[in-house]
Amino acid sequence: MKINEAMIRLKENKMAAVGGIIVLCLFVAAIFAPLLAPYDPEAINRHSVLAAPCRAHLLGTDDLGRDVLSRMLYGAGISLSVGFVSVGIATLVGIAVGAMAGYYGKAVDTAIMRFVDIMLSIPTFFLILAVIAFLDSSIWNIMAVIGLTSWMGVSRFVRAEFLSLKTREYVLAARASGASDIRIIISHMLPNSLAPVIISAVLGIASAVLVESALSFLGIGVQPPTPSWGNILSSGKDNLEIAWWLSVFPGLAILVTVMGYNLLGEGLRDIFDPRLWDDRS
Amino acid sequence: MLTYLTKKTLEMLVTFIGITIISFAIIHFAPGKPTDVLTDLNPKITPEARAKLERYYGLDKPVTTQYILWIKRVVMLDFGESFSSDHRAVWTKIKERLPITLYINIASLLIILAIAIPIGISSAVARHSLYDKITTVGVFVGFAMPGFWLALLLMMFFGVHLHMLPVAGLKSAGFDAMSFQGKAVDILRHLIMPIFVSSFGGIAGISRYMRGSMLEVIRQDYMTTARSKGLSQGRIIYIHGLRNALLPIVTIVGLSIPGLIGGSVIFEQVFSIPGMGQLFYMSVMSRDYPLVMGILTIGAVLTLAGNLFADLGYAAVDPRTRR
Repeated sequence: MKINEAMIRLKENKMAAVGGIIVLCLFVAAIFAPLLAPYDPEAINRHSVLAAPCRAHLLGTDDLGRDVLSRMLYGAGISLSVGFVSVGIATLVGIAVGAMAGYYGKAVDTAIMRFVDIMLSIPTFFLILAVIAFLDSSIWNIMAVIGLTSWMGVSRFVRAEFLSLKTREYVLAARASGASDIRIIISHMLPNSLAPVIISAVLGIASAVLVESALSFLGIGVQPPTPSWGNILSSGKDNLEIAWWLSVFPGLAILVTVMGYNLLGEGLRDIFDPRLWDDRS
Repeated sequence: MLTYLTKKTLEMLVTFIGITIISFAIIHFAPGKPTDVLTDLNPKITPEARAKLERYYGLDKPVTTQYILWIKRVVMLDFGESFSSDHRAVWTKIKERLPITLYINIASLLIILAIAIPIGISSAVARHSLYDKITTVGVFVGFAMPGFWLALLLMMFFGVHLHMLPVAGLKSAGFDAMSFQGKAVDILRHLIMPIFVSSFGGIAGISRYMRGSMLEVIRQDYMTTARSKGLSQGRIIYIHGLRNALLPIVTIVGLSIPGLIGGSVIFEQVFSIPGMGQLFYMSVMSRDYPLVMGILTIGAVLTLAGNLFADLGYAAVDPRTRR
């Protein structure tokens, strides 16, 4: 598909557009958090503990008197970086594994796909909890663990694409002209199987954001005082009866963010999938 | 059918061994010796416990021997002894907590299927209608809803504001004095929110897949044939269409089982339900190694059992697999 054709479809696709705008807002919030935030996100204020939303604190304050809006703006950066870095790891591993299985086929393929099936049978959230418990819950460890437990989907897509690509004429031609396996994989086959990888990466960010917030909510993710949407919700649970704002706003932020990535991913799927073109637009 | 079952059983065995190797590797490739990690970070560990752990895993022997020793014990359901102050056997601890987690997961799975499949079919049939658009929006919200947030909102609304439902645990105070029916109603009231939370995301996911799968099937030639034979719409959709459209769903349900089991950590923790998920959370927080390993292994077995059911379901829907 030509690039400008894709751009036209992107403009026409409402799902992708709405999703794109949400993700863009998230970037703006994260990058400009220091300018946008009315308070220092970690500044404790004993005089305004658990203040309800008011003009001074638009989204209220938490149990240490910290401004929830400021914490949420900084939390956007955490959510964004965990999402992108962990999916980056997952995508690289998934491409490598899937490409090997699809390109070499036969026994290599069988062995690798067996391993993928095994990884898919492990309750991932259990595995993540266990690993985080053995290491410490620094943000880098969280990114690495989420990434290393969520590459299986990508590897399946890449494998399927490679299985069908490897008998195409241009691949056979490249091999006949003496190109190395690595060169064929990286410069000939990979560019032709990027669409499903991009789509599943975008959808993967959504689930990484959910996992990070769940971990932080349980107290094993991003550690306070560093703000994250999940750990604000955790204090929301402790003050459920008196401070609804601590539970409502960060959860809403997670919901909208995850929906944004999902809409963008699904929209991109529609744009790239030629089978859907006949009955839309 | 027999060869099919043998093949499946062999596959499951390979997967089980694979999972245990991965779980085992986590212990052995974690920084430092497992006993070091434990003793440094867990002040509760006594020298005796440390010696016991070393004996249990045979830490002086090569890794492969250690694994074989360990797996032999695991097959006998011997997961060692918990590090917590009660020193009870890991299996005993898991055994008391397993049933409630299983009940909740099975109940949510049934609810997911009972709600998601009809929604998926009807929105595929009425494609582009208002109904289809509303369910699509619902699905996007459901997909994106963090389970623990939904739990908090429900607790706040039905528990704190309306005082309609209990917010934590399984039993009310005075449970022992209740009649049998009273007890049943009490437990059900405690379970409504957890089951709702654990099935919410699944309903969105499965109904989306069901819709997609049904749309795919509706385009097929045999559907056109059925229509041109003059069969009724209901018969075309539910007899010709559904059986074919269900195939990918069975696979998806099988794949979603690990997620369901993993999710029990979250809702059991939020609702203070004394199940396996909560036990796992506590064991992770106190770095209770044998208990963590035991629950990882049991979680894997549950997933495999779920996959086996999915495969049997597949065979029931698709006669081709039975040959």
